Amino acid sequence: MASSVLVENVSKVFHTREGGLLFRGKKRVVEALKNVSFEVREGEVFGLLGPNGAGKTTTIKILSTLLLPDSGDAWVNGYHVVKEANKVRESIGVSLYSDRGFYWKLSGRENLMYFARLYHLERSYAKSRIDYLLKLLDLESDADRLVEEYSTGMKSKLNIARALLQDPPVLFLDEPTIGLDPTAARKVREVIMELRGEGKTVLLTTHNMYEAELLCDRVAIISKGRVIAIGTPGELKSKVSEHKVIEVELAGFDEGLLEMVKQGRGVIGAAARIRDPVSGLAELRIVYDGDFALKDVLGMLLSSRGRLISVKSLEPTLEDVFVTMTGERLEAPS
Amino acid sequence: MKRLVKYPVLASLIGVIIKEMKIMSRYIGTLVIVISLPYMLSGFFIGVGYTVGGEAANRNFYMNTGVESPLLYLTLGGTLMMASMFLIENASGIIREEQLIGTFELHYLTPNNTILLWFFHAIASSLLFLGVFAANASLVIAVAGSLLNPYEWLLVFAIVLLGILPLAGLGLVVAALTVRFKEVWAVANIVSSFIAMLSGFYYPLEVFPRAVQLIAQVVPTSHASELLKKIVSGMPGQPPLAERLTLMAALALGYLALGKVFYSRWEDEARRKGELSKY
Repeated sequence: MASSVLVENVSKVFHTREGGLLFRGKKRVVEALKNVSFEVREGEVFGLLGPNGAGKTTTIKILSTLLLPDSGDAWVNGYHVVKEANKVRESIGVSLYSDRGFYWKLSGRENLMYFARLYHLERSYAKSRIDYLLKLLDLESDADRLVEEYSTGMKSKLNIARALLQDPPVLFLDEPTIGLDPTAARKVREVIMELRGEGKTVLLTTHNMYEAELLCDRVAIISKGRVIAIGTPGELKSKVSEHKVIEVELAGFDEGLLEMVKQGRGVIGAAARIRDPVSGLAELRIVYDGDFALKDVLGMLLSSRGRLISVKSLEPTLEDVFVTMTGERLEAPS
Repeated sequence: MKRLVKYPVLASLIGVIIKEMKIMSRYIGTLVIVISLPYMLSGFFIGVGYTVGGEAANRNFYMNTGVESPLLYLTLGGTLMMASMFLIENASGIIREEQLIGTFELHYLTPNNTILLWFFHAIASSLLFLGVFAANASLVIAVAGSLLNPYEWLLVFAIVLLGILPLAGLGLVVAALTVRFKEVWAVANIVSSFIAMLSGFYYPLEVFPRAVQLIAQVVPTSHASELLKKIVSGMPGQPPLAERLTLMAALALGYLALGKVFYSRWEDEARRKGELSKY
């Protein structure tokens, strides 16, 4: 199968400044991408799975020609993203935000017509295409309302409609369901599955492992600017399928306890998600092998200053692959 | 079915003009202010003039400007001033405003030259102001008891366009220089004030020392202001049309080229540093 997107050793560093009042603050260097390489095959739904700040959006922006890489090369639909940027733009549809990217004083239909004109679509084709997309995304009845009256879910769907205007063969969707209610998120997922049925190549970013498992043919797990694993959801999960997983809810959590758990006998990986910084309420996800490990871990938790609230035994998921490989957790699923 | 238009640049221009007109028509309060403010300012200045000059106010005004109707003179100047301020602020603020609503980088995803797209926005604003100018000028001309022939109207529109469109170039310079500091409106207001001061919207530039008058020669609205007053309000003396229009066209090219140079430099840097999408 041919490559729709090919990324080879792409790196990107940002120089930012922190704080400062009248004059600018301290310099800070952020390595957003470190030698990232992956391939998205034609007709495939490919997910970049990782927490906030992992480098997912930076990758999408480089592939969309909005950002220049510092080093490395990338091709979309066979065109180089730096040397043939115009050709790349003609091949792609991009949805960058869930609830921004519109003129609030125009209706949904008028917004789409504006961008259709910028894509140089012939008027009658544009009108029929817009009608089709509004229907596809369940926005027909709200098409002539001003965008300022739209809910987040409606704006998100309108963003996807805008990305599909010129019927591009390759789509980049950055966190397409973030902040959406379950109904709107389900609709967006249905549309993505329909696009796969039409043979489109979709590269989406998400920190929602459920979404990645449901939608993606293959997934790249990305953390701190590095791709740490690539494969089908099944292949990735097989890395942890032999292990056992518990999720522990604990009040009075501290980082020292987590480090102790990670060093425990039989513990493959452990990571915490703080739910309430004031009370120290946290969820620990622990991947381990053998009953002795569970006994040791529970012993550590019970003898700690924290108060154990609950312990759940779970089936391994993509999140456990992430926990095992990075010692961190993905964000809470939306 | 045919998918793409024959003239893509024209399609983009039409798209921008329709979008801008629709948005403007939905900010009806702003439109009312844009149309009525020149009258309000004229009334204000006429009041000040009578307070200072008393019964001799009209005679003094005629002696200093060569125009009998202060309302006509001041309203023409005021409308042109509003247009120039609007153009500078719109062009200066376009990066920030579009970034804030998230539409800025979406323009970079379309197969268009982005500087051309922002220039199209300036054309849309200019067209709007041609309408405002026509409405305001017609009214004050009618009140003054005279009319313009079609040739004069065409000339007036050409002068207004040549006077205000180049300011889009200046706006892009401001946009490119200030976007990182997010203080664009402060700088745009300062630039607008200088342009207003040097354009002679409300007074003849002869009130200034020679050095200031020379500086005003590189401000396109100073020529527009003078020519319009000569044509519309019947100031004495033949306007040196060909010479002034050529100078204004040269200034327009210069201003727009300057805007392009500054904006392109910013754009290249923004694509390297990820500033296209910062807001």
